[in-house]
Amino acid sequence: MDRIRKRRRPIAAFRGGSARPRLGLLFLMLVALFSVGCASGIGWANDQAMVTAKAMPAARFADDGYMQGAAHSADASFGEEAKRHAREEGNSPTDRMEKSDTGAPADRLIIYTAGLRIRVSNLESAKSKYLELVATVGGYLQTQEDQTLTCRVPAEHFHDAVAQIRNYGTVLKEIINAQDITREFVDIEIRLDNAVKSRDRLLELLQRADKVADLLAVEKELKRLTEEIERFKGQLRFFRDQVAFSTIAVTFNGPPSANRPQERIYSRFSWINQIGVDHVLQQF
Amino acid sequence: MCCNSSEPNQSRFAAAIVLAGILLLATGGCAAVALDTPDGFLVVSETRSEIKATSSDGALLWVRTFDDPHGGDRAFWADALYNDFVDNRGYTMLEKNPAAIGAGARTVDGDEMLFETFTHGALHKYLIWLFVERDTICVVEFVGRPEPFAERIDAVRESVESLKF
Repeated sequence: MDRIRKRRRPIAAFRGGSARPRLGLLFLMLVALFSVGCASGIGWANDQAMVTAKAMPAARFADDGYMQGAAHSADASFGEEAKRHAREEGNSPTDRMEKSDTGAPADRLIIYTAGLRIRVSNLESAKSKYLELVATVGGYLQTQEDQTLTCRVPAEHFHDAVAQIRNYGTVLKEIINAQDITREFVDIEIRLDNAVKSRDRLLELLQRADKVADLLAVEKELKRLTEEIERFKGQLRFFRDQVAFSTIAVTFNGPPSANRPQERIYSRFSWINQIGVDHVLQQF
Repeated sequence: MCCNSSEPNQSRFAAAIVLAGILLLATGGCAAVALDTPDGFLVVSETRSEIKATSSDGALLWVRTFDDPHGGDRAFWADALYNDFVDNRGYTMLEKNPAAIGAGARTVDGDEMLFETFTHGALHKYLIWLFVERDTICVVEFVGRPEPFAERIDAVRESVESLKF
């Protein structure tokens, strides 16, 4: 209640005994809520932000902040205003999209992963060599399961590392995957930016609210927005990590003869004992 | 009189029915295995339950059906095969993929498993398909040294699509 009383004071002059200011307050809240909702839709503002972010250098990952230049306001007139402004500068979303399509690939945000199966003459030596390589380039071992070692390496060393690993022995299988997450990343940045702006506006409204019901409504929305902001930040952190560090999983196979058990145990199922390489070679 | 004269006819008819039943069981109980063998392979043996074919460079293709008295499903037999090949025989599994033969309601799903092993003084690749329907297990085995194996694998895969059992 103390807090409610304190917050009533600044709005006292504003009240003037009329219902209008309250309506105005509600209207502002509605606009603020609407603008957050817009962030997840397919709208012009999203397009503009996406293109802007595409043009940004990949180096921006170093800074922990989120994109500032692509925001749109809760002011309903902003959309048209900004579109007009962009058209005047020859900078409409479509124009910029076309430009960015021919832009440098460095602007793309790509998660690289590789999976290799390699037959080597000496398992232990190959594994040591692999771990040594990973350490040299500033990576680390993520998991080890039997003969499969999964490591994370800085993205700039990904291709070199894979090329070196291929030379350890005979490559039996290789899968390289490059996942472009530019669109998802920028979309989350926009949502985060809008959520932060909406939260700021709600904080302002909180200062001016004079009814308990208004206060509760604003606080409820603030709580939701804060959770959303934290979730977006977490997603961005995850994406940054995935882009900055590539994943390489290598399964090492020893020489085929080394895998053969000393004494074969026959299957309980007679038909299984009648198939297999040796049986085929002998029966033809 | 009439009854006496019809008795031999009745017993002949019953015997014919029994004979027909035996023949049906012997021949129609399970359909013969059939496969459009791939180009470059010569069929060296063909019976109701198996087809053997070989290429000039030593790649071998063997299609067989086995009765399954235990009634195991495909997943069970695929696991049993994997365990026996890898744990007991020391094969290295390189790939496992789903496979299917037939079409529409008559589609039979299966597994395709690729192994390699060092035997008879050389490295051999071994591709096996496993299909299970009712109490019949159908296995297609393709064995060869790495070079002929790689050269013929696409044709063999295409050929297996025509498998019927």
